Amino acid sequence: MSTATRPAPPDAPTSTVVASALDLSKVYGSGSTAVRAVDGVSVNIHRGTFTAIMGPSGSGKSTLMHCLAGLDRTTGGKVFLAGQELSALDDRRLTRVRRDQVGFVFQSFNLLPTLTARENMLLPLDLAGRRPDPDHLREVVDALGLADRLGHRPSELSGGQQQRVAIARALLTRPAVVFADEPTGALDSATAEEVLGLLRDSVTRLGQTVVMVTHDPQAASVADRVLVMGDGRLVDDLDRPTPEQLLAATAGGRARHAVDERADEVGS
Amino acid sequence: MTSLRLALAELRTRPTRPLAVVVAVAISVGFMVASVAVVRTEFHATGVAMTRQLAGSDLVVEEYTAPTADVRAALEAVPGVELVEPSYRVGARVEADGRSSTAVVTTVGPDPRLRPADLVEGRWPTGPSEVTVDDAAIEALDTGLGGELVLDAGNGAQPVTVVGRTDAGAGLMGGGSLQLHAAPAWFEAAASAETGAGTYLVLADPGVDPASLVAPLQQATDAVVAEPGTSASVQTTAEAVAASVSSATDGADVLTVLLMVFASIALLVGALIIANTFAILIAQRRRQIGLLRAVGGSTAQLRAGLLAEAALVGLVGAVLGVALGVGVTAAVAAWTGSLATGLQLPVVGVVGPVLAGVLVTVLASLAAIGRATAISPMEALRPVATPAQGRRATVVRVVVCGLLAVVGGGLAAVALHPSVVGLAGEPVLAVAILGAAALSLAVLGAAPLYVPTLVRGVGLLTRVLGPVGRMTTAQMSRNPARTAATCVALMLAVGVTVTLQTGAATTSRTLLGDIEERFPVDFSLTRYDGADVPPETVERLRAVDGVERTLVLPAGQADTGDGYVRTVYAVDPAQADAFLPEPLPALDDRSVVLSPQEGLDAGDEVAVTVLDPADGTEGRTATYTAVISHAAHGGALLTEQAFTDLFGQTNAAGLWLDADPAADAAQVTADVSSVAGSTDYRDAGVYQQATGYTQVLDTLVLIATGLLGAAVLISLVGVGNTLALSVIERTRESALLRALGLQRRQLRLMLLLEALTVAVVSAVVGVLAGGFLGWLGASALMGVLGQEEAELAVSWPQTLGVAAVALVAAALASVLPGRRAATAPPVAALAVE
Repeated sequence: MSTATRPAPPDAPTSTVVASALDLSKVYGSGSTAVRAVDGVSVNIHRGTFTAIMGPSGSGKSTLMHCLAGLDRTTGGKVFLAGQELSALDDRRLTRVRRDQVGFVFQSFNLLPTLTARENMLLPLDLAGRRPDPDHLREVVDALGLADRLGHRPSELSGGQQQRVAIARALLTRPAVVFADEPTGALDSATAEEVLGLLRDSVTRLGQTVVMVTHDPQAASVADRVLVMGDGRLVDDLDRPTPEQLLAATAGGRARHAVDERADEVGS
Repeated sequence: MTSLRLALAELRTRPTRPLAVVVAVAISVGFMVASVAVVRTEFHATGVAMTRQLAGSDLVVEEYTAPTADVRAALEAVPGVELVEPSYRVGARVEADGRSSTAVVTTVGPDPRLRPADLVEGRWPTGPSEVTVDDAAIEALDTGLGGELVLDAGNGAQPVTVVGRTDAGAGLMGGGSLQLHAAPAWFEAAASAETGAGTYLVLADPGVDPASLVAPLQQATDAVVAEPGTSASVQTTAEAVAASVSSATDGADVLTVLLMVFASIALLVGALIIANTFAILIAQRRRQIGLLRAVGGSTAQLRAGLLAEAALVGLVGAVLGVALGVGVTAAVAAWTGSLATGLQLPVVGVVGPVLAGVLVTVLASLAAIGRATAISPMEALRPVATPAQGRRATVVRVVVCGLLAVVGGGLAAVALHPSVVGLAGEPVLAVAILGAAALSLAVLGAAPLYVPTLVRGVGLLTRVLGPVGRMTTAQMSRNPARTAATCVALMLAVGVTVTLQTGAATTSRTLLGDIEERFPVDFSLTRYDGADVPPETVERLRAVDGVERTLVLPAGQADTGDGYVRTVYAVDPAQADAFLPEPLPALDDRSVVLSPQEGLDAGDEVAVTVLDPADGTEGRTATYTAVISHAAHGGALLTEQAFTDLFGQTNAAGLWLDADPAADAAQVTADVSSVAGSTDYRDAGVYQQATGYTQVLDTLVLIATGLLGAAVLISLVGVGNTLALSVIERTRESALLRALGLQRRQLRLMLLLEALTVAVVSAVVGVLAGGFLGWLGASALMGVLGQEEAELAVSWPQTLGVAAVALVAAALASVLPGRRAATAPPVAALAVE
């Protein structure tokens, strides 16, 4: 199981598939300095699942996520998100897809320092000119325990609180997929656990689809499915693995694919 | 050395960041260099042009007293003299087909070595009725080769034929006279003997040093004039040219000082931009500076490095500025035709501005450098750059600006109502200047206090544009000090410009109102001979463009008891009231209306004596009661009955014309006098004088606005620069917004709104403050000129023009930063720096 990738998915995504990559590759630079960050990856992400992408630094996991989320253009292959082929969209429509179909949670929270917690949460809806559903807003705010923090600016919030605001921002648009990039990377372990629990809850209770990039086996173990990347390729695909299994899988990955320093710089 | 190396490395790696400083310094320095060089070059060209008639001669002899014998023969007899030609120069009235102007006529002799100008086409005049004309004359008189002109040099009009065209090349300061050349024969025949030659051009024999001929020629002239010794000057031509140029360039200094005032304003605005830019540059380099401190850099090394950087940037800007200034000077000189006599670049005029540019750059960077040295080494270790500085309530600022505002306001109140404290004249102007200075400092210094509020006010408008508008306001409130500093620069530029415009408009309206009151009739024409003005002349005058109304009325010449000959008009009160801006005072047949004058009071008895128009012999005398009104406009008004009784008859010898104040005064005046003819009429119009005032003021304001344009330009470079630098700071945020779904054009719109907000806030404050200060200054000036009260006038087209330029240019300034922000890839938001 550790060496085989799954068979290539069918061309048209099935109804339970919200995002998929088909023979996706991404090359940075050209000629002798070209770095193949993602090399022919095909994968389907199913609705209402929590998928973690793991791998050592430079394995291409972040690049894969950027391409799936429409943040970065692909070099080859196709990406489908919420029924649209992203590589066929111009910048304007791609931006709209990100706005309406994608939620982001970043390692460094990435809140706008000039806006309050509430304004930060509502920013994507604001940009779309949509009004928040008050029930949904209350539900999300309560679930994340932010009710008494809405008027604060990011500089007045703790790291965990900031990340919860970011999660709320990602959930409020009811996106097709929430992409989280090392969401616990800048948090202490207790807060990290809390944030992971919130993401897990959003999948279990709200039926949200979450794709999370992480290098922490502990974090990945809350996922339904874990994709392991190595050297730009998908090297493993695990269902509800235990942290021990994950440790073994990534340790094997490291052994087979020595970390490429150059790819490390470019890929993350 | 380390410091210098660090400074150079910084500039090499990021050469574009201090670009705004370079541009601001370059424009200011360029302005100063060009001010000095253009003025010098033009005056030099004028000096040279004034000696053009000396052309190729070796020596110049000018006689001061009338000769007793033939000077020319005496000079030619001096050994070593090859040739002597008289050189005449007279002013003359020149007419062609109803057009007329004044011209300077200069001799052109038969010897080709002594040509005072270059011939472009045709030939040089030889006979007594031939002339050449320059391009200006061809345009002004609508003539050309073969054209017929009438020349009048004070000795009767003489017809002449145009046989050639000469080049212009008098320079910007050369004056407006048309340049004509004629053969000596014309001067001897037409210009009358009394003009005399006065000047003789001398050619020395080949190989003879002109200087060696000075003494012999002096002796030769002394022998033939009445008062030997002081009678004539003999100079080599080189000396004469040098003397002329030096006397011409002496006049340049005043103009240069005036231009330097404008250059200083540009430099002051530049200093604000420079200070702002350095503050941003330092803020962006906090981590780098912290690192430098962490690895052992002392504050002294850091300070030296930053000072070296500032000086280098200033020097680059200043050198570019010199190039810019020289380029502008060359362009101006090429346009005015002064390039031929050479660019004049005084060393002081280049070195001074360069030093000023470097000095201002270094001084303006001191505050930012002081802040940089206070950065702790800990900055380098912090993971994320510290957020924008908090809004420290600056009590000191509030107190100082408050005091300045109170003092300035008090002084302004005194200047506006000087009589309350018993002041008058020049002291009021001094008080006004002090008050204006205090108020300006208060408004500019307090900007960080009120600009955020104004930005939020503008934010209420941009709010309707949705989240983008709201984010713009939030973004600008983030670093209020920086926003305020950007506003201050633009505010200062707009404010100074509007001050000038409002001051000029107010002055213009007040003076015009006064002139209008004193001279209610634009043109009043009277036949000298007392004959009626022919109806067809009235018709033709009414048809002149710019003439709006005519009134024919009886007129005659009389002495009004004070020895002055005045024109007496008979007025029908109803007709006169309709014609004059203000109704006539009540008249009866025993009243005479006179203009206000010293020693004349209303109710005085005035004896009016009729004078014969032909020989001035006195006729009938009658006594009237004086009524004082400007309606008399320098003449005297009687009722029709009184006029008939006094003169024994009535006539239609007088004509009043009312002209459109907006018309081209010089043209209307020329048209009116060409229809009326100059000899038959006595002309008491002040139309040209009145409109001339406005035109001079308008032109001055236009030139000043153009010169202040440099300041506006620099401040807009500052707006663009602040945006550009904050875009660099906000790369991650821009990328985040893009990741969250902000469209590129929305991002560009955000920056456009930021630029427009700065422009609107600055323009509003600048126009209001400038308007008030302009009015204040004009009021005080009117006091000095003896006017009772200044009427506030705003030159709306010009003022709105400045505001519009600020808005449009600010919008343009946001284009490049906006493009840069919009190209930031959304992936960058995820990168941890």
